Amino acid sequence: MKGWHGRLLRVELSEGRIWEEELKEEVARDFIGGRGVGIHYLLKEADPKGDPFCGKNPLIMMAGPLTGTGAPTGARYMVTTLSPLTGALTCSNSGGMFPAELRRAGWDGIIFTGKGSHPVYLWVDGSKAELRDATELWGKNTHQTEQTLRSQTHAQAKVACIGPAGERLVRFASIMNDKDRAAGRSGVGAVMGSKNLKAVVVRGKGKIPLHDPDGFKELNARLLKKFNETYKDAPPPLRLHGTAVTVMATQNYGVFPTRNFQSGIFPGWEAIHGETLSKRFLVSHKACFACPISCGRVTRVSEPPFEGEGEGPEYETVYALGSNCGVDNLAAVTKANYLCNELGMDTISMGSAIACAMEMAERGILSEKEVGRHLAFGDAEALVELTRMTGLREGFGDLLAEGSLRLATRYGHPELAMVSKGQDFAGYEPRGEQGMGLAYATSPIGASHMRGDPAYFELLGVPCNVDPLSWKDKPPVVAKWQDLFCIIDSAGLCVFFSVRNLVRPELMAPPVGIMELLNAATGAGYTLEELERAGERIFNAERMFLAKAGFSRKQDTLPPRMLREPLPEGPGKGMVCHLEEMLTDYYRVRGWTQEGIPTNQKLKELGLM
Amino acid sequence: MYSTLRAYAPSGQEPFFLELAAGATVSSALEALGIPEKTAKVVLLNGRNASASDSLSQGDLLVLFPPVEGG
Repeated sequence: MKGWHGRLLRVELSEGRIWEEELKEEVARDFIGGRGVGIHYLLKEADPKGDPFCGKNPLIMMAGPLTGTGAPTGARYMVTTLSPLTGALTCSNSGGMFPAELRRAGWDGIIFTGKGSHPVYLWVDGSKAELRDATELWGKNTHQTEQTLRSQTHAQAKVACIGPAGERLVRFASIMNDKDRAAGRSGVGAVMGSKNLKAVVVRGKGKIPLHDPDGFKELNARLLKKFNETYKDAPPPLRLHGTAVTVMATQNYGVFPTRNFQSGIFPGWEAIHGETLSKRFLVSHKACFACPISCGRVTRVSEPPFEGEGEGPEYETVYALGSNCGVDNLAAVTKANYLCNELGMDTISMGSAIACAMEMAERGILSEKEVGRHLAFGDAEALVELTRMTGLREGFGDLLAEGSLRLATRYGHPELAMVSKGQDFAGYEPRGEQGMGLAYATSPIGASHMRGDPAYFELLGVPCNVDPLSWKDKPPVVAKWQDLFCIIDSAGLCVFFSVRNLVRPELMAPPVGIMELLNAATGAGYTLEELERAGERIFNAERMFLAKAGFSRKQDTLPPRMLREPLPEGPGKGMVCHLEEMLTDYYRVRGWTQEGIPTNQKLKELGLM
Repeated sequence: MYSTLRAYAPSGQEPFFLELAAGATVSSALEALGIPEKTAKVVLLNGRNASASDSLSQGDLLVLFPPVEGG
């Protein structure tokens, strides 16, 4: 087997036991890697109705066969587990340097089970692995943790760790790697915290065996040449201004979520746009392993009281902590982002919980006494302070740490949480972007934009533009892009490069470039049909898991605001999200029952039963 | 006009007004701005996707930006 090592590291934390397990060739081929292999193991080993904080819940860190190979943007890994935010499965993705280092250490992934009796970290030095005491690290933030661990292991070691938020089981705690990259969503950091696992530290200098090294090298050179030709006159917008450049698109389409999704137009948008970030706080751009785009933002804020330095903010952060909280103070948004990174929390769910609290406060549902301060949309200081308090579960932050849905439910108004399956919305308004509404409702991890992102074809011109307000034409396209993202996430690639450079520029997105890379790396000899089938298999495997957990059409929904309150302004004024109409067609396209359950015929066709 | 397409704005600034002859289309506006046809771009007319042949009227808002790899 080439491309894949065929080796997984198993770590049983209750017993302190570590062993090697074979990643079987047929599993690797059928599920590709990363996200696909993750759901394969979750289906095999987890109780779908189990407690996410129970020791039996496996925490699966899985890279793809292209991770660390030098394929452009082959830098990513996926964390798969039961989510304490949604109660269902989750998979949360990150890049940086850690995933490539894990592969260069000779491993395709690590599966943790059990719970440590005291805080520990895993030190992986090539083929050797050991659990070490982390009592002294407990309480340290992610930056301090990384620095300390490097001094205890190797100066060039790569670290993935949790901060105080993960230790305190904040339901949207992230796993941070390489300081500021995040497997951000769904509380994977809280699962790690529940296991008393503070960090994973890796050092690896080995080579990844490839099926056709010369062909692989030529293919990469050709891809990079084409990429450079595309941008010969002007650099990629993402390198120039980071992902926050997307504000120009969402604001102009009227889908830039504002004040807890009460509007899609934010009057202060220019103040938090990526171009403004470049002018005010950008120090340099930063790339993940083998990435020619370099969208990362290294920034510094010198303005009191929001001084700090680190990475970000990304588009999702300027939406969540900015427009959605009515905050147009970029220094405050950036500071709250730094706090999320250091404490180890998802910026999206953090902003969504604060925005939900702000709306409840303005409606008189939440009193000043309960919050401990006056709270209203636009309050930049409250944004930063509540972020800090959440990461440490101090005062009202203890309630915010439960996430927007539990917070709103506690006060009798679950409809004010902008979530699907308990997962907070990303930065796109579903009434003005119908395909995104369907994608939020049917995403296996709840309202994520990264499980088949319709913003590409609805807003960003990739590969073409489809009217964001139309809904009848969306179900087959959304289903196809969901399968495509399964392939990208499983191969170990970044979506940002893949959708424009590894997919034929057609709306139904045939992944020809990914197929070529995978075949040169692994020798698996995928045909286009087989690879697309693998994507569909992975998406259906995730759906099987959800069905076993008791999820069906009832949970594939959006808050009443999206379904019944017309969008008040902008190009989509008067629109609601036509979810029910889309769902009926979507299930038919998927070969699922009208309750949203994969049929036996579909599962047999995909080799899942 | 945003990001890398801002280079085509007359003074490098936006927003700005563009005067066109009666009967002008999106295509003639792009020509007046000197944006090559082959340059990849997203064009919005009053917040909706526009095609090259769409007619323009007094007071219309045209927004242009390059395709973006993600957000």
